Amino acid sequence: MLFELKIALRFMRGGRAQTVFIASGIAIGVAVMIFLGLLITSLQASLVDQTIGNSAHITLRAPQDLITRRLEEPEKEGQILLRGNDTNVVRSLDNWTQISRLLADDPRITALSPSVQGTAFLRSGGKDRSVQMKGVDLQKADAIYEVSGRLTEGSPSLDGSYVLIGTDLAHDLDLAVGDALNILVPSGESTRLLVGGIFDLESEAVNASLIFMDLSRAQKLFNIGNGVSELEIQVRKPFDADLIAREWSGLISDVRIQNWKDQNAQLLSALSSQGSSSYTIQFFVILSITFGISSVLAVSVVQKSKEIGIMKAMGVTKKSARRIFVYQGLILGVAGAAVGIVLGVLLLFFFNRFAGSLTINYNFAQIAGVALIAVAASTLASVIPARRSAEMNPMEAIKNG
Amino acid sequence: MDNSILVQARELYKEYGTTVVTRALDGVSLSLNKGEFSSIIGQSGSGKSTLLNMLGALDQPTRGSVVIDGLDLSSVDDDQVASFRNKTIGFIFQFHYLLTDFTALENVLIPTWIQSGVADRHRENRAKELLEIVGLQDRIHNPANNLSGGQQQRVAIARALINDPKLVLADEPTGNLDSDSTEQVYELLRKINQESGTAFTIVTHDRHIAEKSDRVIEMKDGKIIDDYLTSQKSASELWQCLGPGNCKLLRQLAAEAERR
Repeated sequence: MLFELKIALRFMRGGRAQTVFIASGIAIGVAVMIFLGLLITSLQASLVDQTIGNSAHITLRAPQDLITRRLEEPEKEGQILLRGNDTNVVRSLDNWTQISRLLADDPRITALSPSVQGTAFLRSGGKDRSVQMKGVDLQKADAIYEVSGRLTEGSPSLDGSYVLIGTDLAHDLDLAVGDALNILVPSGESTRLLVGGIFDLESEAVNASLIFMDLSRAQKLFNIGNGVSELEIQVRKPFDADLIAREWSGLISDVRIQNWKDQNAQLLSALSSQGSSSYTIQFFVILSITFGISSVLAVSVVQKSKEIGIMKAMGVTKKSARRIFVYQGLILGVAGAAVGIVLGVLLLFFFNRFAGSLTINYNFAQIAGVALIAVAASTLASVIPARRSAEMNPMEAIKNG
Repeated sequence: MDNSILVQARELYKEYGTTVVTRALDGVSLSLNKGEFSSIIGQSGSGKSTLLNMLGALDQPTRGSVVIDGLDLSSVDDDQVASFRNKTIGFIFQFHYLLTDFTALENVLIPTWIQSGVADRHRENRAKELLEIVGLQDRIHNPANNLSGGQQQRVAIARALINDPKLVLADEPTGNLDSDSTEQVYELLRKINQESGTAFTIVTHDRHIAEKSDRVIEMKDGKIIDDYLTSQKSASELWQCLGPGNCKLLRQLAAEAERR
């Protein structure tokens, strides 16, 4: 073992330029793989976080919207008969307390927030605006939306007639903390509310139209008794949301269960193709590293054929002759991977320091994985040259002198 | 087996190719004695080197058997043969084939590393001793490619001797050297032969070396055509004999003269 290692090291030291070139090649490859791999991973994590970080992963709603207008059998020929007025009725989930008690023990859930949601008309200072009212228990809603921590003004409280509005809405309607606003709901009900705080949820659509209000006030405003319009849930592993949702639909009857994955199929397929293109690039990087090492070692076997021949004459076994080259592959892989890790981490560091808004996470398990693959590929690359060294006939090598 | 016999080769044939068969050895039988200093002579292509490689277990005969130091080579596998070569046989080739990335001392030590895997103080002292014997005590730590041709060949000789082999096989050991170096190398081999009792078999073109051996084996067309002890011939007779095929010719002439 030691003997073969000694020879391998000395051969590599002898062919210094060759060794340095190929080791640098491996190092660059490893650095690219680390950088690219982690960039994509972080990019995807950030995209997913943006999509679902502050929204429900699973939503439980009443089975269907109430149809307030329906097409009926015409009484006369050529007539279209519609019955009912087409109003937006908030259909409520009346048994939500039982459901949330049922789900309370599920360890996969990280947040559960009942909410009453409905469209309304906001009138303030002579301007009208269509808004989304969201009646919540602020403490529970915070677990999903983190509203309290993202207030730019005011205080996080929904007591009394206080509500929280978004920055864009406040700006558009020139509202400040303490100002009053009138809310009109489709049923004709109206109420007067006060701006208690202004939030920034980093989404223009949300900041321009969402209003958080107290749950029980919302129940009254939308006239749905003790019901809620939905139960919003976040789970520990967002990517299991569809499985969990399916499981629950067998458990709880008479509700509509939606999960973010079904609603964002396009995003998910984009992520998955992004992921596979990253793997493809990494695969070809590894492949070219492997070919590089393999050809350098093959040349080295030819260069050293006389030395191998004489060593065989002196009693070196086939196994040893093979190991001399396998060790070279292994050493090149380890050295290249080590330098590559340093380069890759440096790249990440400079990227995080100087480029853009995205912060790449140093995922050391992934870095170690790349290094391991590189070492394995380098060792594998040495197999064919090593076999040639093992099979070399000492007499052939010596005769050709 | 006779106690004095070191190598016993029987009916060795070596053929290359399948459709066009080249026969390099054509039924060679030969025994080499312990401590013997013998030369194999003959023209290029007469099969000398092929025979030497068979005797050194570097190559397998197509037919026939080689028994070295009591071991029938056909009865063991590649690895065992390799290990046997390492312990029993030393090789010296026309080109030194030193490992250029190592120093003189390390080159001499390589055969011991193959055995044990690690450096060993006792062996290292022996290697220094051998380098001293070959006159390179000042060059011990020189890189191998930083030595002259003669010096490199002397390192190769020290390397061949490090494991105290019973037999040293040399293929044109002086073929690449000037006449002064040739003389030095010969003297060296002879000295080691006399001091340690190691048997030497040397393939050579050099009449001067053959002349000084104990025994001369002449080959032609893959056969041994002559095999005699130098002590049985007078100096002038021997010198004439050493020309290619001359000995046989001389004998025939002598026989004819006698008949008349």
